[in-house]
Amino acid sequence: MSAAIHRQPRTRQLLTATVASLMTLSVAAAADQGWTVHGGTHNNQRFSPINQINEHTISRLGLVWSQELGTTRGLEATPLVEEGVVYVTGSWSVVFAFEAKTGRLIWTYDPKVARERAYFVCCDVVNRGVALYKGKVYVGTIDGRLIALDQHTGSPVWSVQTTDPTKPYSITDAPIIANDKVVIGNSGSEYGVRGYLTAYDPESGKQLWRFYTVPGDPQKGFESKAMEAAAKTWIGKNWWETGGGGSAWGGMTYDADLGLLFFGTGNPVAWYRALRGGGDNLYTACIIAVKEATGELAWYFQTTPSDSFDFDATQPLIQADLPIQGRLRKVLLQANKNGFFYVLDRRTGEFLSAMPFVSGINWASGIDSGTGRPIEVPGVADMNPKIISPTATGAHNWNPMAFHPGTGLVYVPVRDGTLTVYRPDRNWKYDPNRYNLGFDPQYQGPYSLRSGRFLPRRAHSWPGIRSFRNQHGARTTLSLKERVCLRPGATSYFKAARTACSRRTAPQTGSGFGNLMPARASWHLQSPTPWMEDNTLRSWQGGVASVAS
Amino acid sequence: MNSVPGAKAGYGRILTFALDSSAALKIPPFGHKTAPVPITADKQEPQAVREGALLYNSQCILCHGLNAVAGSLPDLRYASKEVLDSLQSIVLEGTRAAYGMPSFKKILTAPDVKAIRSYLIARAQESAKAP
Repeated sequence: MSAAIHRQPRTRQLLTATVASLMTLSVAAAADQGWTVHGGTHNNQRFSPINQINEHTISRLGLVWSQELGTTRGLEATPLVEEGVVYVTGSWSVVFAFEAKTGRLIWTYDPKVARERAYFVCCDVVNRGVALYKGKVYVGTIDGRLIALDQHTGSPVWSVQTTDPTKPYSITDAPIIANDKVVIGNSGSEYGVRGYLTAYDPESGKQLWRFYTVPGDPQKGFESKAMEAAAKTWIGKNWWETGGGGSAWGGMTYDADLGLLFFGTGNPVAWYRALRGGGDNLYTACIIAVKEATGELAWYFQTTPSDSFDFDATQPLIQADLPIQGRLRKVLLQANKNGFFYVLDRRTGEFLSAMPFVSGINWASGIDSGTGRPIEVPGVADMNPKIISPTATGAHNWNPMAFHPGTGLVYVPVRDGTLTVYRPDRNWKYDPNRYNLGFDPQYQGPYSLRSGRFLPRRAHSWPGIRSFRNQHGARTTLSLKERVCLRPGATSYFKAARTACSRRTAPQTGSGFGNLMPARASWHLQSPTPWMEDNTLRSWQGGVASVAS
Repeated sequence: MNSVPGAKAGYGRILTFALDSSAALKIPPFGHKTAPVPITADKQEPQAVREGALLYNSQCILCHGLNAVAGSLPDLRYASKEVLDSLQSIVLEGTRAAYGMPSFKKILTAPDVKAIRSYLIARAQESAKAP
């Protein structure tokens, strides 16, 4: 940004953020034009033209109001702002409307999700926000409903069950509006569901189309040619019984000019290729374009074929028009969980480029520049325990990213240097009552479920575990010095990162599921957005926490 | 200012900022400030603790945290005698389903829950000793 003098606008610009304790900072900037769609603009760039709050004035930024949302559970919503009202969701799919200037609660709506549904949610009872359209507020619920509320009163107008309530489906994503349709996906791949996306009439809630992301039982017939083609990429006995996965839980963005709706899909079930029997498992871990008018497949690009490491392709997709080799191309941008940043032609799905955006990637040596297929390290998907980077929760996850049309830069909240100890269970069988990762609970390697401890040896020297060299040629290792430490009672990972671990308290981490992060990398949430701590606004740049005021 | 009905102290809040504004952020006290107090000083049977650790870290970890150090949900090292004594009905019969703690009857057995109980007591004892 230039150092030009910023003229003082007539109205005060507000910056609204929901904050959960650890990892959530979703920011909406509110000005006269509001922030009326999840991605700020329909191309999902999250670029705000308002400029009163900038690098010169940030030190003067202070709190206007705050409201407790009454939860200790996760918050992941992007607040929307329209005509001076902030619409935001909390845990359990509860919706709130606040007066932007004062913080006064205008209305709240609790869909009263049965609390035991939490059993079928991998990553907390979160919700990423609402969609606004023609006087209504749309929200997806943890138990699979899509509800339309009156924008002024919060009263329900209609509600549809978008999933089979006897199956472990859930909804965490925000709905999207695409040419007079409201579209919603679902979550639950880890438990065994068949993913899909559904479009509804925003006035009545009538279903308009449904696009499945993975094929069902072939004996029941295929819904489309796309499903018939996908079924050929599934191998193994009765592969459809797990549901397949591929849940559509993120990344939705709509291009009105092309009439295409883009989104990403999750992992297949179980996590490990060897447990599924191989095959590319279309359309899991895929970026997909469907025709908004009919819900038919337009194109797909599978970022991680035959995924073994939970590399969902559900991260935000940004639409941009970029000059590439002398031509202005309509592209889609994604910083994928698998550690590579993808550029695709969004008209055709043509692969343009993929580059690593984190250090330490060791599952693939790169992406084939012709096909876009990962160049896997030999043996990386076999049944032996192994250390893989990035971690299962990804080099980047659902956390929003932004594109600055002036600088041409993308700003990504990245998690660098993360890793997971993978330990496939040879005896795994699909069980609809469980989390179906295929992890071996008896595993006794460097991180053991039985002891709950990091065992005191360098992981790459542990008998039976395989480690792989990362793109810099270094072995990805886990050593005692590098483990995450969290002092009991510490309330944030940021604090934990600055707290020296004593010998006695060291082997305790606050959460995680075999997701091991070196202390040096310490949840490298290099978020471009600030957070509040000790009554002070702080920001995190280049791995260093800085205090803004 | 209207606040959210029934909003208790927690980690989750919405914040709004502007230039030259200076409202104070009043964060209600939340979380444990002291080490847990174990319900008993009796040494738990080591085999049960080992079994409990495995069961805990494969079934309970997602919500209650690795090694029973919770993030956002109840930290079970601080579980009261009342909770630990009714652990069988909480875990198997779902007596706290209304709060989001479902029944694990399809996955865990009564001896499993007994082992998890021993593990939780042992974790409280360990943490009580930590500096």
